[in-house]
Formats: sequence, structure tokens, C-alpha cells
Amino acid sequence: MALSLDIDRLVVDVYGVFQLGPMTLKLEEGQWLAVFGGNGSGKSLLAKFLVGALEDSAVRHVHGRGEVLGSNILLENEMKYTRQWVQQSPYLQFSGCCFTVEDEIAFGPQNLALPAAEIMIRVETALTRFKCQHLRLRNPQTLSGGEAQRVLLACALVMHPKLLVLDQALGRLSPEATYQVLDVIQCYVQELHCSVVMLEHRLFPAADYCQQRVLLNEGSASPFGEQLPASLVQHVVLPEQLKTVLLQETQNINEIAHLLSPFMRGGQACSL
Amino acid sequence: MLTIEKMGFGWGAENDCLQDVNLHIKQGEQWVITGENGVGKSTLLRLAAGLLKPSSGTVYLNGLDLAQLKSVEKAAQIGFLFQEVERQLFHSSVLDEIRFGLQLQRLPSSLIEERTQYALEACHLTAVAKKHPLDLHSGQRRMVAVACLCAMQPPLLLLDEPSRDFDPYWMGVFDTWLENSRQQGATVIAISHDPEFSQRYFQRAILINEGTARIVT
Repeated sequence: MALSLDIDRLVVDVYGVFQLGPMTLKLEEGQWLAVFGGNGSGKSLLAKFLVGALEDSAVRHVHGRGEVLGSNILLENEMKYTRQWVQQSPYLQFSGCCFTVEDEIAFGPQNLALPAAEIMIRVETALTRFKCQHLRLRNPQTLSGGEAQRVLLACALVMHPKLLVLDQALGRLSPEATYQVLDVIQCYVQELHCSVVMLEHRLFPAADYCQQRVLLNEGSASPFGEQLPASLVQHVVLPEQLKTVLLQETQNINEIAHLLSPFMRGGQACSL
Repeated sequence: MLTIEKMGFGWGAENDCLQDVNLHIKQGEQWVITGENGVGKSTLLRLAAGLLKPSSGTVYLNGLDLAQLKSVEKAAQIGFLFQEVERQLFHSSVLDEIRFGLQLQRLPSSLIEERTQYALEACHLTAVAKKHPLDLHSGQRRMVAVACLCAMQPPLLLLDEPSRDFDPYWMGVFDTWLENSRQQGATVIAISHDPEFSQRYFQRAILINEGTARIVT
């Protein structure tokens, strides 16, 4: 199966002040990757880097190599729309030039000059799946935090991406709504053969959906399973009960993975 | 401290966002507001801060009609932490951001400096005091807004999903500030989807559902 992410011991210097890497990330088409890390660990920079949102002058290649969807990550790419990114602050990501939710969702496909009928179908599907039909005529800037995040996810998936990067993109949603939305994304990505990268400082719900997990610390990514419990407790927000359990352990996470199982909730099967 | 009587609010004539809300919150109490997305939690908090005007009913702060108070009087009494912290930071350095509210209160410059330094230390921001708030990571950025409240020391704190952006380290810093504020007698009303955070700090809870606010604990 094709690799959506094929990054091998890559190190880049960003803005001359932050080193991203070394990191080795391999992600197959259709799979989910969770990148956990505390505040300032470089999650948002990594998200920008993966989707090509960092300006060329900001990135200096130091070591290693990386490909995203088969293209060199360090080179400008005309197919950037196949990588969609949802940020943590929804209001900062709205286009600012659309005065209804409907127009906001249609904005991306219109810029791809897709046929009007195709745009209408995509917008209706996105509105329905993310339960945003009642919001269609609202101004995006008047939405609540949770509503705004649903709309932005619709804006991302209406582009039919091959890589979806969620940078703490679900934080404004209630716990129930978070799982509902992730189930919708799961259905979408199965249909579109899209891969998902979730960048989070909370273990759940990302751990429920992502087959692969890494921990980012000061820009450097290392396998989640090789972490010691104390490191996890230090960098990632965990349920209190799990934290108590983990602090009594000294083996790495791979060896005590069964301790996480009672806290996991399997993603629901796609039924849309 | 805060009394809400028969308050209603709608976004436009046909939208009843909140109806007949009645709350009496005493000084020193801690309340959490819960409910699904889009039910009006942030709207209720903005009404309690006087940032929105009720369609009907009245909000009283210490027995005075909130609508009659001047902005500077409300700012001295009420500290507000917005859900989108970027919307409340507009100075080019952390230091200036913290000083701003104190300067508007026309406090003596020595007191402004004293409180600014105290807030920087309490919020672990001394090392980034001269940086632009928007150049900081999300945890520090939110803590800058908290530092502004810390410096102003208002008796009523209105916090919109305060715990969401913090990793374990910054959550610890925030917890310490909140606990200190509580011990100093601050009244706290917060919106939260985080059950562990809610259980840790709040004795009373309000559930908003279909436009009505119901006290559940």
C-alpha cells in the first residue's frame, strides 16, 4: 500500500529558532497517526510543515529526507489542496470573505474551479454529515466554538483531501460530539482513502482512533510505545485514574499496553 | 455577588437562545456551566459580564444593575477569560498586555509594576515577558490572559473553557492560580466540558439545555 507519509530521520530548522526532528514517520494510506506532545513541543509547527504551510524561507534542511503523498516535503507543491489542515483556533481559520456557513464550505471547491453541481453535492454531503444543516445561513463568525469546529472540519473534507491534519482541532466540542465527529471523519477517510494525523496534548480520544502513535518532545518524535510512564504523565493529559495506574509502573508503554485497554473506546463501524 | 432575574436573550427576533434564566450566586462560590455545543453557555457568560444586553430581565452585580455600570467599573469587578484567547490579546508584548488593564484603572505606577511582576511570576511568564503574546505556544498564550486577570484581581472570574489548552505542566500552573484566587475569596463561574476539572473545583453546576438553565448540583 502507498505511503502517505514517508519521513526518514528528517531534521529541519524552522525560523532559525526551533529544530523539528529527528523524526521518522511512516503512515500508510487510510491510516491514522497520533502525535502527542505538551505545549511548545512543536506540534503546530509540525502540522504546518506537513501541509506545506511554512514559507520556504522559514525552513532550512539539516538532515534526512521526507515525502508527503509521494512528493518531497521540502519542495513547493501545486497539489497542496490534497493536504488539509484544521487548526486549534477555529475563528482564525475562516476565510473572512464568506458570510454564510454554506459559502464558507463551498469556498475551497470554488477555488479549485469545480463544476457548480459537484460543489453543491459536496457541500450538502458535508453539511449533512457534520450535522450543520441548521447552520447553513449563519455567519461563521457568530458560531459557537463547537459549531465553528464542525464547520471547519466540513470545509476540510469537502476538498476530498488525501491527508487530513487535525491540530487539536476538536477541543471546543463536547465529549459526545467529539466522538460523533471522529466517527464521521472515519467514514469520510475510508471513502476517500485519506490518511489522518492528529496532533494532541490529550491521550483521548486520539488514542482510540490512531493505530500509530508517537510522542513529540522539543521537536523530536519518538515511538509512543517506547516511552516510560513517567514521561507520558509529564507531557500528555491523561485521565486521573490512568495516571495513578501508570505512575506505579516502571516498564515502557509497550510492555504495559494492557493497562490502557480499559480506558479505550473503539471507533464505531462506518454506517453512513 | 451575581443575581440573574428572569433573563432572556435571543440572537434576532426569532431565536430564543436563553429563556427565563434565574440564578443567585453568592460571593466565594464556584459554579460550572455545562451543556452541549451551541446551547448558549458562552452567551450566558457574556450576559453575566455585561458584554451582551439581555432581551428581557436583569443582571445584578452586588445589587446594582449591571447595565447601568460603566465599563471601567465592570472591569474592576469582573475578569473574563475568552474561549478564543487570541481575541483578547492585542498588545505587542506580554508585559504591556498585563499592564494594560491596570493602567485603565489609573492605579499608581508603582502598584502597576508590583502587580505586573507578581502576575508574571505567578503565571510562569517572566522568561517571555518581552515576547509578543501571539508568538507563544497555546498554553503560554492562554496563561497571558490568565496573568491579566491575576494582576487585576477582580472578585468575579468568568472563565470560558479555561483548562482546554493546557498540558500537565501548564495545567498545574493554572490550578495553583485558581486555587489562590479561590482562597482569596474570588467567585468563579466557568464553562467546562472537562469532567475531571469540573469535579476538582466546582461545588455547583448549571446545565443549559434547550434555552433553559437548570441547577443540577
